[in-house]
Amino acid sequence: MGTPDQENMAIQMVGIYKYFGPYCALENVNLDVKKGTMHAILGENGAGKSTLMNILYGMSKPDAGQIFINGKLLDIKHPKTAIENKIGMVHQHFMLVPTFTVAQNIMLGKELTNPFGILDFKKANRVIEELSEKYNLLIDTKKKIENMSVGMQQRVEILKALYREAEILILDEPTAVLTPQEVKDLMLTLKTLAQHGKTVVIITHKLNEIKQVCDFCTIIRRGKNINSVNVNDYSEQQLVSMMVGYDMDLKINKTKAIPKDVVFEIDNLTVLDDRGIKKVNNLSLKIRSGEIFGIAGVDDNGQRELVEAITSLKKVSSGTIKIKGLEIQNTTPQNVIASGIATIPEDRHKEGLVMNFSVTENLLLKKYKENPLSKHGRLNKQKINDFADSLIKKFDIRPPECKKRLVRKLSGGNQQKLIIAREVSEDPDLLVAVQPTRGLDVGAMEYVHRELLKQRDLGKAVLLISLDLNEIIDVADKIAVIYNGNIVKTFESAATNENEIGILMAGGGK
Amino acid sequence: MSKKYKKFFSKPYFSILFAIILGFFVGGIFLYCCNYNPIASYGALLRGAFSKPKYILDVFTHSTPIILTGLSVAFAFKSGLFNIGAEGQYIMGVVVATILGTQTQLPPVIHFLFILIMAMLISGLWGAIAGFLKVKFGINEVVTSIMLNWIAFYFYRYIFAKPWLKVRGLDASKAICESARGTLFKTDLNISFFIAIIAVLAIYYLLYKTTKGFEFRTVGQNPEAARFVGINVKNNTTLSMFIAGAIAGLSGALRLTCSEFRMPNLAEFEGYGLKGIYVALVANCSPIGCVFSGLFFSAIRYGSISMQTDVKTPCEIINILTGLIVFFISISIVYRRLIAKISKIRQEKDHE
Repeated sequence: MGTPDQENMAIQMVGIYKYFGPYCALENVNLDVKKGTMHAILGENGAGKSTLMNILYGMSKPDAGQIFINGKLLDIKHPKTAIENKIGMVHQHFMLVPTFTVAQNIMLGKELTNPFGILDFKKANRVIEELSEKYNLLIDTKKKIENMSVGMQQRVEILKALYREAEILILDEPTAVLTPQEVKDLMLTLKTLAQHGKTVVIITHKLNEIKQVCDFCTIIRRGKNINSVNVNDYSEQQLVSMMVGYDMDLKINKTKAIPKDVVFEIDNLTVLDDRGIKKVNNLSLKIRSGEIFGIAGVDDNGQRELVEAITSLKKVSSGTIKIKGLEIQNTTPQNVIASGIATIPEDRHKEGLVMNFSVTENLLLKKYKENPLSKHGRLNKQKINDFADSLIKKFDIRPPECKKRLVRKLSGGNQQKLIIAREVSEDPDLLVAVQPTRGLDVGAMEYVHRELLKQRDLGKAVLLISLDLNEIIDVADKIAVIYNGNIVKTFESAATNENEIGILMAGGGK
Repeated sequence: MSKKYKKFFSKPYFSILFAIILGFFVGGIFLYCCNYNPIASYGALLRGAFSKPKYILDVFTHSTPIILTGLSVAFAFKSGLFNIGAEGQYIMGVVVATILGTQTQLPPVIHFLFILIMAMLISGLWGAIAGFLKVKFGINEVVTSIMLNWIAFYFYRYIFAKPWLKVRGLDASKAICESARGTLFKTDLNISFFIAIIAVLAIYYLLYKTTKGFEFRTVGQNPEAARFVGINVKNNTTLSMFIAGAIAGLSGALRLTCSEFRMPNLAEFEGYGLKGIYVALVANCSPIGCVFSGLFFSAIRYGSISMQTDVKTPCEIINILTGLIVFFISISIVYRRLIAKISKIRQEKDHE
């Protein structure tokens, strides 16, 4: 069956919908991948690209839609079905047994045995060595995983998929954990695979990689298809614009900012990650009270490390961070909070909230030591209840009687309102908002933006870090573009447009 | 299924109750297969625990050490730690109580209280070692506290063999002075159970009514968020291991000053600390729950003596029963899901 066109396609996903509760993660997404090509799925964090691939690999069930593999309609309920249909996936977090050797890991789940049912390592080693020669993936099959670099571990994962005779290989953010040299090697490997007729799908938000190796590219934004293009026909800047998008209807009414004195200042800041790579590189910025300072940039250009440095969760290797003249680099999170910095963290569930605590307890997290909520180390239940009631009302956290409800039972938007309520009621001098609308619906997004503007108008300095260019352009008064851990350029928001920023975000400023 | 029922079935105490019933039921099958009458055996078990005031009193007295070690484990768990070291902390409590009870002379009530406080302090420090090693070097407290259990055990045996403590010809130490004892009116009655209740209430108060307890619980639930809102995770970890150790030490000190009076020769762990783990499990780590769970295990333990004498059912069945109950609580997620599924099917049927 199938039209000739269908037979040419390794993967066809048609009309895929996926909901997480009321939140729509994928809305009518289509994907066509031609056999023997390298296809990129491009999108920001949370755009839905990993969800889409998890559906393809049978790890997640779509709420609607069809999947055709090589023109054949399949119901992929389980990764087993995917593997049987020669789909292999290399996850961002490797699924390897650290104490096993390369060969043991590769054959795990599909062991080679001799006629007596005993593991045949010789044969396995031979098969794997043949594979590694064929695809130019040199590896020591007898080495243990725990003694290997991340790049080599990834190679094992690729070999594992090839050993299972994968014809379609999905790689989830394959370069996120690699060093630049390892990235080069991986790109070579992927090219070799494509030359051998394999179909390769890469999930990524890094444009230079796409330009280097991919043939086609499907862009997903906020769970929707934006475009599917031939990579050679578009520039990196055009791809960025499509990825971060710009929808006019999201624009909110904004009055002009009245900036005053500089309250927050970063000078020549350098922060290393755990591997010793410079993630924030000699970065400087100044934020005035009464303005929203937006940092635009593609993910993993040092934003996370910058926030961790400001909140003293990470050590700074050089440079200073000052609030109202007070140096706060390399102190404790307690001191940072005490000096007047409040943070809306990137990961609501992990950093922002205690999911098994009630709404009241979560609202109390930063205030529990303050009189009259507690006195001499004793919590005052009555006062705490009043405090929670007033914040729930003031910030419109719903449902209104949610005081005793566990936070995990609240919607994402209301969880975010809770965090904003807690942080804003600290009356900070600087409010740091990291991806404050991630995973929120339009209504909740608007709420968050209005709240940020309100804080600005109250004379606070606001630092907004977002991967969503829409958000930055709509909300920020000043826009700085971060690339490779450095601020490439700073604009007055009125004096720029998304194209100019897009070019800089893609590294076009250098 | 009505909403009221659904609420009841989704509560943790339902799954615990259900696990206990299931444990008795499956235990009954074991008994039946071994040619014992399960109904007669369980009947004797109940009689052995509750039929005479003395039995009831015994159940209360013997519940004290496990209520407290259970409380120690439950408290640590609420703070995000697994205190498997309650055994060693308990032993340190016994050692401190014996030394101070035999070697010091103080007026009656003061001597007793002095011993309790010192035992709590030393055992608390013993527990804090594991907490400190965790925050300083990132060593899992489970590993360190198991090792500390053995150190405490051999320290106990070392102290026990000291000539100034050991009684010649008797397999026990000297008895502690009258002034150091927690007995009432020179009878078998003692105040250990009441002190345990005070400890339970104090821990409940600490966890739910104070700012420190709020910090402990936040660290226990989500250390990352705790760090983010400026709570010092490291200090709180060490401090909660200190408190957990102090409670286990209190357990040991009370056992010695209120019912043993002499340090027995230990060939192996007495197991009070380890029993604390399943007491805390059955209590769902609630401090108040530890009282009931401790009483429950004490009741079946002492009831089993009558079971053996009256109907000749071996009392080892209690170990099987305990194992089954712990097992069924551990898999409680399975039947909570089952109930969720059944109610969903019913709902769908209602819609049709």
